[in-house]
Amino acid sequence: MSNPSPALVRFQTQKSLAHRLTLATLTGRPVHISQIRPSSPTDPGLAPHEISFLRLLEAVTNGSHIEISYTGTTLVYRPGLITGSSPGSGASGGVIRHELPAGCTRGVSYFLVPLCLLAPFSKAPINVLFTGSGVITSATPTGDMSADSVRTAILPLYAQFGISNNIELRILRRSNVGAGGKGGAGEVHLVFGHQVRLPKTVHIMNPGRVKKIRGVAYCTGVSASNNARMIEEARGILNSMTGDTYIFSDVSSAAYLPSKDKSNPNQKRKTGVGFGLSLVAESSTGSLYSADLASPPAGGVPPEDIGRQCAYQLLESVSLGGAVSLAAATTVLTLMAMGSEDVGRLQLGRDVLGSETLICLARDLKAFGASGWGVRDANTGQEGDVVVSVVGRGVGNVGRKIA
Amino acid sequence: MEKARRMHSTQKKYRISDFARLIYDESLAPAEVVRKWRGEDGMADLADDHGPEEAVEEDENFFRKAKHNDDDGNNNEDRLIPKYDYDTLAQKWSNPENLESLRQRFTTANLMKERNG
Repeated sequence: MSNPSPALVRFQTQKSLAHRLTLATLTGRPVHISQIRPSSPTDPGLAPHEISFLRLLEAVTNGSHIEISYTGTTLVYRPGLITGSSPGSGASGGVIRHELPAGCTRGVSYFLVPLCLLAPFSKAPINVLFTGSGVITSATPTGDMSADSVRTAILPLYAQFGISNNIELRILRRSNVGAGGKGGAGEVHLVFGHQVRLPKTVHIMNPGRVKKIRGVAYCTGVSASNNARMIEEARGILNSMTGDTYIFSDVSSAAYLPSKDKSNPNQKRKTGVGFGLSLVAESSTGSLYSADLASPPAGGVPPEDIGRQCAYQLLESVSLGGAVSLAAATTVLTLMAMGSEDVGRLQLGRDVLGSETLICLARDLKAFGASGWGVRDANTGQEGDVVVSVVGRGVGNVGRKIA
Repeated sequence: MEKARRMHSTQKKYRISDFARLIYDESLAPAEVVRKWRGEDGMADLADDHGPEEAVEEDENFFRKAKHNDDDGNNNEDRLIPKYDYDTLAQKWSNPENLESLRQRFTTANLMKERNG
């Protein structure tokens, strides 16, 4: 607040766009992002899901300012305060309805994970209903996890930062990826009612041993036998590793959307047909490792293959080691960086730390003024594990600081 | 398979001091940092002597891989779940030896045996 117009933080390309915008909102620094798909002949500039994410940011903040260039390849975002779903700022009845466009190719987790990062620092509780013909709750070929995995593998991590009350993610209607990899027609409701001044400093050093595996097999608009076939195949692989494996089965019908055919407006079409599997391994110390796979929109993959490949993906994720898996590391490290000005430590597998995603994250955090990470070899746990030390920035909740 | 073998043969290349130096080196793209740290090109042993031939080889590697990424077209799109080659994974995890070595990450591991061995 002391400096009314801090310098723009500059980035290029659409890489980790959603996370960079999240960091900008958390730290209150404006960003300038250029070179967003400049050479794409068909779809230059911002994609539908990115536009939609900007709209979501606008909805949960007050005073945000977004400028997009004529071609959509350059973006300036000046963040406002994170107000959440307080009445009078876009929320009706305490709920923000966020409609995703039909052309959205990303799963709803693309929106959920950054939104959950903003939520603890909001002024009022976050209460968002994702709806519309672009909500895909399953895993997607574009690399998003399913909404089930967000609920079972990401949200529990917030408890370690002292953020645990009144957090709920309800999947009201399931949907797989629609035709051509675009859209679905699911419905997801996120309630994040625990706001804090600062997240606790954590020392997550003990990965423990995997004691149980839970999962959700889901299918929409196809026979329930697909679930049974996925579960049997996955269990066949995982049963030798742990005796405590339980995979839930959820069967639902596909949603009908009004047809685009103008000559026959009453005709409806099914969308988001398919099946998928979400697996989460939990260790004795509460570490979570997740795996996600769903049938591709084009079809043609038997459920046995999905079940088997998902189980292999889970084993791979466990074998990378560390107390936090690759999919959750961004969330945990960002929360640590936003914590109080104290050193937090986190044990990671070296291939998790040495991944492009985390190197990008380290550089982005530094660009937003966080201090550099310290790294050293771990003494305990799997061979090759490393310990990352993160000093918090002490930014915390701007809304609560002033109020 | 080729990739798996190469990764196994370069286990010693992961040095934490190298990583601390590489991570904030803005002249390197993240993908390059990953490759250097894993020792997947000739520059892995940064402290060791490396001749000019090796540097040339590294350049070639760099250009080839970068081109491959461009062909992929998805280089800059974020993925929470990386792209896996499921054939490689299937081979890796249908091998009983690999499963047994992973067993120490599970509670079903025999701790007594581990202590004796």
